[in-house]
Amino acid sequence: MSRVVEVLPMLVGLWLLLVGMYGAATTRHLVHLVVCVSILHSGAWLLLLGVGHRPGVTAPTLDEDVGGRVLADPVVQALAVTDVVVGAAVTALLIALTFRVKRRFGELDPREVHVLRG
Amino acid sequence: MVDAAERVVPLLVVLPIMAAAVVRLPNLPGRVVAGFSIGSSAAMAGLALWLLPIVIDTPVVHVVGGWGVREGLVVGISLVADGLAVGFVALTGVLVTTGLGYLAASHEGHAATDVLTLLILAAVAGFLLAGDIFTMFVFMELFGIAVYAVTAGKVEDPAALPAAINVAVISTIGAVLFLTGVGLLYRLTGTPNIAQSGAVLTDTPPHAALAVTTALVLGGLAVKTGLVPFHFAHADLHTASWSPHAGLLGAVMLPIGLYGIGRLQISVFGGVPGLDEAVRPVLLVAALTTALVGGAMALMQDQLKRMLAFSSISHVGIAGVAVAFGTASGTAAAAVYVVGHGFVKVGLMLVAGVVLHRLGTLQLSELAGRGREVPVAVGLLTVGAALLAGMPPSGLFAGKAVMTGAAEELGLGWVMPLVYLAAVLTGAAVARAVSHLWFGWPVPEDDIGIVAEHRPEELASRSPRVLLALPIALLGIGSLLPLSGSYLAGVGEAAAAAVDRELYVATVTGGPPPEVTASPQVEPWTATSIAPGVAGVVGAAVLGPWIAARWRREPHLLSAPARGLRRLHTGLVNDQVTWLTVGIAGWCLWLLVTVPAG
Amino acid sequence: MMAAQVIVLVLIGTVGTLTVLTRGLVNLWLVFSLYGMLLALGFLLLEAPDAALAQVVVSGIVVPLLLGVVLAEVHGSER
Repeated sequence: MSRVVEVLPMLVGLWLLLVGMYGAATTRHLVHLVVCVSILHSGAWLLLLGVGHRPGVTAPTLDEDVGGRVLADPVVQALAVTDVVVGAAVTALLIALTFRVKRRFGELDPREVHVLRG
Repeated sequence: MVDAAERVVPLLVVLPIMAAAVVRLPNLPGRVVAGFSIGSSAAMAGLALWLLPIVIDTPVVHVVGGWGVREGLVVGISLVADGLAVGFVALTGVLVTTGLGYLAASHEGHAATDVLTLLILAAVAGFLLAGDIFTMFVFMELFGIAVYAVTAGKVEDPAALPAAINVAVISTIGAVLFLTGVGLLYRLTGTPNIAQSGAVLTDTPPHAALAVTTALVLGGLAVKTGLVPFHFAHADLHTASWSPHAGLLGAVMLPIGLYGIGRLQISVFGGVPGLDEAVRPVLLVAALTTALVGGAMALMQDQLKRMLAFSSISHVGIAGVAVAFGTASGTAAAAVYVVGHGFVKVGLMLVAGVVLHRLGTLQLSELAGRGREVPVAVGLLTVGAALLAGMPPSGLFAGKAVMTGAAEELGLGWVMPLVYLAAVLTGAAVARAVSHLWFGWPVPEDDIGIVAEHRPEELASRSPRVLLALPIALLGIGSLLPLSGSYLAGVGEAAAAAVDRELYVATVTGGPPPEVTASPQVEPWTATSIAPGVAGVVGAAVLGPWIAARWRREPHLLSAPARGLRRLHTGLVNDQVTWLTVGIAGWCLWLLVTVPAG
Repeated sequence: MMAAQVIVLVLIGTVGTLTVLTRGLVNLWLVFSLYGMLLALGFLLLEAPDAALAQVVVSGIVVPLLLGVVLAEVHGSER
């Protein structure tokens, strides 16, 4: 059981990565595309946290005596926090682009707005 | 000297970021913004050039925040300045400075273009100097976002928005795959530091998890590099971006992906027995395919900038072949090639920008015969075509000449004819455009390609001299630089240091430096190198006009595979994600099968 | 604690999949917001409080708001 719990975050992360890519490959709507990209991005965060997590660890906050307990790896958590912010920036940018596409082309289906071909 | 050098290293990243912040201050007049941007980017390039000879002798490490090696562990974020990284930073600085100069003189760009360009410069420097793989990732995302934003801000261009969305999605997925690989690598080695994880992995037996990790890390970088089948979105972005940025994208942004692949492949994964032998063929096949597909696609384009975009992809593929060799001479060849191509490609994209300013379009069908209105630009395009085809003594010639020697060392001599062919295709593409422009041979209508483009409302009756002086200077440097013996020797030394994993690890962890390995002989002028160089130029000069005159007007000559290849480039984000998935799955499967177990 | 982790992680996987399979815009908005909050909870259970905090701000507030603006634009023009 504990073996499953140990790798479960990474498995769920990889699953979300695959699902998000499936969604992005089949989407017919730019807003949906943005959401799919955001979901596959979050798969990487879960995977990172899973990498630094072992059963029974404590959050790596050092303002009190941890009493000899094992801490979760703070390095990957810092990586995850950084990437959450990066993900927010990418999502915000993509939403802004989507918004402009709607204004300009009046359409949100990627098939209707591809103007570069061949 | 080394002390001062160590303090200068972080400035390469910090200076452009600070400059970007200053430029963003409200109410600055346009002239001040342009002058300050150009000045700070030039200052950064100057610092990098000053640093270059010092770090070629001794690589310098700066650990941010005064951290360092504690109890044998590298703590903190280290910036590793070796010859290859700093040389690449200097190249970027010089090209960005010219790009900013062009923006100022042509009044292209919007309010945030200068800021975003400076951010791109900072992020590229950060990526190149990063001593740990997560810092690489962060800077990769930073220049990614800046690039999409700078293109998406080109509101008047109908292609800019879709192109920015395509590349934002593809690049983000590539970055996430890379990050996933970084996470798995951290699980395996317990450190994000490149040197440290390389030391941990040295002589460990390979296994399936390591194979997948390698595929994700290097495959994620390959997405950024635009290797086939990850190149679709990049072609769209280069077509739609501002002229100087389109040049920079091909000259710098794609090749730094190759730099990342080479660095991590050698310094992190290079010590695992059997892994290296498994990765090289994947990279070689991907790069060679990229070179040929890019060349063929360039030849079939009817819009000048998209033609140059595919040409960039092809030339990055050629440099990728040299990176795939993984030897010191291969790395030297790739470096010479990237530098040569960088100057030529930015120069050509600026010429395309001038053509757009003067004639109002880049569609060859509408430009046919109008080249006589812009004779200097057409002359520069002709020179550019010869340079792309590999005219001696340009960097594109010298790079391929050194690459030939590197290939023969490894018994891979058969790749060189294909490499020369790819270069001839890209040269022929531009020669074809020149033929249409000058002789007025009509371009046939076809139903495959659509390139929506921005048409300036007001045309310039004549271009400011500086707009043509910049590409002349760039083409000149790109073609004459390899004549300098000290340049070639420096590249050789930097390449020898870059492929020396033990030296890299010792530099970062502070261990005793290993014995200095001999630098490869970087000598492009050999008895066997000049003939193929000249033949390439002649080939392009014949093939381009012949196609302009004949092939494209007689559709049966445009064979079914060629049309099929063009049809694959749908410009649709769904298809691009599908191709990306197929490509990454291919990398993973190939490595899973070929990496020896246990 | 372990049981809670497993439940939340499975929920994250399920709701994430549901989000990708949702095609209506308003439903998408709702499911995606739920997904963001679940993710924050998952981070908390994985002993990463600061990641959870960042996630609450990003997925719970910023992204739904931005998506809401786009939704308003899409629906406004359809009317």
